[in-house]
Formats: sequence, structure tokens, C-alpha cells
Amino acid sequence: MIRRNGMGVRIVTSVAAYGAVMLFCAGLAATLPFLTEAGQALIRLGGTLAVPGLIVCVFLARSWASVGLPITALAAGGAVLLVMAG
Amino acid sequence: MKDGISDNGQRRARLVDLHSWLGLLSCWVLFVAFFCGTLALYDAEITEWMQPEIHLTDMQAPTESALAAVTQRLHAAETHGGALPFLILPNARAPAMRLVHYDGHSFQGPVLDPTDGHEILARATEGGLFFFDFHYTLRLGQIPGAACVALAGFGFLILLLSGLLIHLRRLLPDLFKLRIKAPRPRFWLDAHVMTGVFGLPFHLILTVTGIILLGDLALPMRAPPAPAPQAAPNGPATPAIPLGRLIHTAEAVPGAGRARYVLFAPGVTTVYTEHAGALAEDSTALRLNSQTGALLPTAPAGGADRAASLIYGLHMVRPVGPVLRLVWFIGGSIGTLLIASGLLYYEARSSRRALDRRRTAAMARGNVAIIAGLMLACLAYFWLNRLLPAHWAGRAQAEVSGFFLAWLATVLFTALRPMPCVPARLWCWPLRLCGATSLTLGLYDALRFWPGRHDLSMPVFITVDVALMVIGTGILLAQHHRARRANGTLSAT
Repeated sequence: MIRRNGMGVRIVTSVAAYGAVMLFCAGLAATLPFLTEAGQALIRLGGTLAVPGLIVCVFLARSWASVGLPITALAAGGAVLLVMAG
Repeated sequence: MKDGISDNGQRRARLVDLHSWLGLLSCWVLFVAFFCGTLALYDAEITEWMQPEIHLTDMQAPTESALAAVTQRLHAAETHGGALPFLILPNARAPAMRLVHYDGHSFQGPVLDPTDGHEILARATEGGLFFFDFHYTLRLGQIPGAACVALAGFGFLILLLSGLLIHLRRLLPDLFKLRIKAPRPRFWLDAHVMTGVFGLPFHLILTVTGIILLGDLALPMRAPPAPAPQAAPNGPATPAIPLGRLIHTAEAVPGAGRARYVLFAPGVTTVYTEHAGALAEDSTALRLNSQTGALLPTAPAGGADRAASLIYGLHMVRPVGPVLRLVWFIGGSIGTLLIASGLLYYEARSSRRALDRRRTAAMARGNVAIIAGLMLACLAYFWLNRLLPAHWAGRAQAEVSGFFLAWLATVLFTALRPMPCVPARLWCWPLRLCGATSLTLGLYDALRFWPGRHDLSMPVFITVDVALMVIGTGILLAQHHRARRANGTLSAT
């Protein structure tokens, strides 16, 4: 259970959440070769809204599964997209 | 059931911890960004106020002779091989023409009269653009300045969300409760909740769009593909045909709007047009052959471009009318008050609960240094604009240096002063000085510049000077009231 851990773990997880969103946005932008600066701004809009939501979820979560899985999935998805884009 | 209650309590406690610690870490940067960003909404007006030598009695489009004078200056710059300036055309907010270049922080260059193009010998200053630059770079460049502001922006979004969740149950009952005579922590908490909820749409809009504007630092991505090279004719940057004709050709394009800026490049003159009153920052760039005046093909704006223009426009609010600008200014001011009241609540609560005394003292000193220090620094910037010799070459830099020196002086005064029994007493002298400098600046300016002035900038002068006098008087009265309360608290203990 995540609640047994102190704030330190949650802070580290929050940083990981920010990194995962960053990775996913970068991956998404990289796989769309036609994306202009304006298109990137729209992806950033999604990322900007996702980061605080995810971090607050980290502080509300009771179990690792409820936050760890989405964060890992986001990071993995971003990494796959980046690899696909070369 | 019992578990459920304790779990909810734990969750709330974690959210409170997140809100407090993140607030402590990011609020000083956020206060600077919000305070200066709100001032920057009126950057053109502040610049006009800081250049009282500009006396224009009529708002008019530049004449042919004025644009011919611009062309001559451009030709001279091109011949000497310097950086090519660009032309800012007059509009309702700034009736003078400016031929400027970007110096890394602001736009500098001669101010020109739109009737005949002669140079108005206005004092050199960064004007309101200083606040614009400072609010997102902290004068420290992209890294660390803008990166720091971008991270603080993310912090603010998290603070908004966690704050909403913390107060969710009592949000409506507490919304209209501002208990002025309550103990300080309660008063500041009421003010914090009230400003947070009432200004919520603005807090969200300004922060989200601000982060997107700093997107390269907040959420870095691969550089977008360079647009296909557009056929550009070679030739000198100085237009061979009258500049007025080029501007007229651009404005005649259906849906283009009114010309605002003109950029010069070898063979190509780009006229940026905008629709006055529009919320979106949809300036259309129209490229013209500077030798023949023919319109060059430009890629049409797609849906994503229009959406991004709206996002940028919601943050910058450049072409909007005076009412919408005032609404944004009020929204920005509420954001500034939200942050300040949060900081003051934390300080008052720590002081009242007699928590770790060193932490309380550090918090109180930091608040005075940032909140009062920034206000004093801005007033020093304005005072120096009035006191330094008008045509001294180094005055623009001296004004900026004065801003930072005044701030540093406040920081040192606050840090080195022995901690009083009541931490609130730390505010006395900085606030008194703020009130006095603001009030005297407004009075000085009214006596010095109002008599005999009948030009377009008169409303700006009246507004700024009256605002300075009102703010100064308000701060002095509030400080007087605060000092009485602090003395009362001390005698009660």
C-alpha cells in the first residue's frame, strides 16, 4: 500500500509522472511528421492539463497499482512512439 | 466506515501537505510572474507614461512623408551593415511610430512622429516591456529564468487543483465569508479562498496558456519540420517602392485587418496585420516583394494554427479592446492577491501556532522581501525614470539596475533586521516606504506634467498618477491599521 510510504515516495512518483507525460507528448509529436508548431501547442495543451491531474492523483492514491500503472503505461507508450519515429 | 473516514482524513492531510510545501516552493516566483505579468497587460500605456516627451494631439495613420523618412533610416541602417530594425505602426494604445530592434530583453529604437517622420527625442527606457520580459524570464534568460517560471506554472496548476479539493466541501459556504475582524490567519484564509474561487477561470487560462507559451522548456519536443522554402526574391531590404503602397496592398487583402508591424528582409517586406478587438492573436503575415510590391504566396492558416492563435491570444490579450483588457487586468490582480494571501496566511498561521520559530521568521522575512520588495523595486524604477537626466545615454540600463538595487536593499534590510516580537512588524517600514513613494510619485507627476498638457497621452497620465496616489494612500492606511492591530496583539500578550 502506498499510504505506508511517506511523502518522499510520492514526490519521486510525481516527478516520474511529469517525466512520463513529457515523454508521451514528445513521442506523440515525433510520430506525426507533419505536425507544425501550432499542432505541438495543442499537444502541449493536453500535456499541461494532464500533469497536475496526475500529480494530484499520486497524492490521493491508496495503492501503487492505481498510479504506478498509468504512469508506467504513459512512459512506455512515449518510449515506443519515440522508437517508432526513429 | 471508520476506516473510510480516517482514509479521507489522511488523503486530505496529504493534499494539505502538497498544497503547503509546493506553495512555499513556488509562490515567490509565481508572485513575481503574476504581479509583473499583470502590469505588462498595460505595457504600451506604461511606456507612454515613461516617455512624457511624446506629445501627439491626433491619432493618425503614418503619412507618406513619415514612411519615406522610415525608408531613409532603413537604408542608412542597411548601408552601415547593422541589424535591420522593424517598424511598429501607430495604434489606439500607442500613437507614435517606432523603428526598433530587439536587444535581448526589449525593443529599443527611435520614436517617430507619424505626421512627418521626424524623431521625437523621448527619454530612453525599457518602459512597460521590462515587466513583460521580467514576468517570464526573471531577467535570467531562457535557462534558468523561463524554465523556473514554467515549472512554477505547473506548480500553480497543482496548487489550484489541490486547493479546490481541500476546500471542496466548504467551498460555497466559505465563498462569501470575508471576516475582516477575525484573527489574521482566518482573515487571510478567507481572502485566499475567495480570490481563488472567484478568479478560477483566469488562474486556469493564464497559467495553462503561459505554460504552453513556454512549451519548449515545460514539455520539450522535437523541432517541427521547417516550412517549405518559399520563393524569395533577392535584393536590398529597403523597399524600392513607397512603403505606404506596400502597407496599403497588404491591408487590401480580404480578411487581412489593419497593419501593425512591418519586417524587412532582403527582397521581402512582411506586413503583419491584426484585427482590432479580436481575442485570438491571429496576426496575418503578408509577404511582399519589396522591389515590385507584388504579393508573394503565403501558406493559409489551418485549424491548428487558429487554435494556437487563440491560446496565445488568451495569454497576451494584445489586440483586444479596453474593456476586455481591464477584465484580464482584474483577473491578473486577483491571481496576485491569491498568491499573496496564501503566503500571508501561512506566515500568520505559523506565527500563531508558535511553530518552529526559525521557520516562521524565515517565512516572514521572505514574504516582506518578495512582496514589499517587488513593489518598492517597481516604484524605484518609475522614480528613476523621472529623476535621471532625460537624454543621458545609459538611463535605460540605469533604471533597470535601480529596480534590482532597490529590491536588494529591501532584501538586506529585511534579512539583517533583528526579528521583532510580532513578525508582522517586519512589514512596517517597507510598506510605509511603498506608500510614501507611490503617493509622492503620483503627486510629483501630476504637478510636473499635467499643467498645459492637452495631448493623446493625457488620459494615460491621469490614470497612472491617480492610481499611484490611491495605491499609496491605501497602503499607508492599511499599514497604519496593521500597526495598531500588531500593537494590540503585543499588549494583549
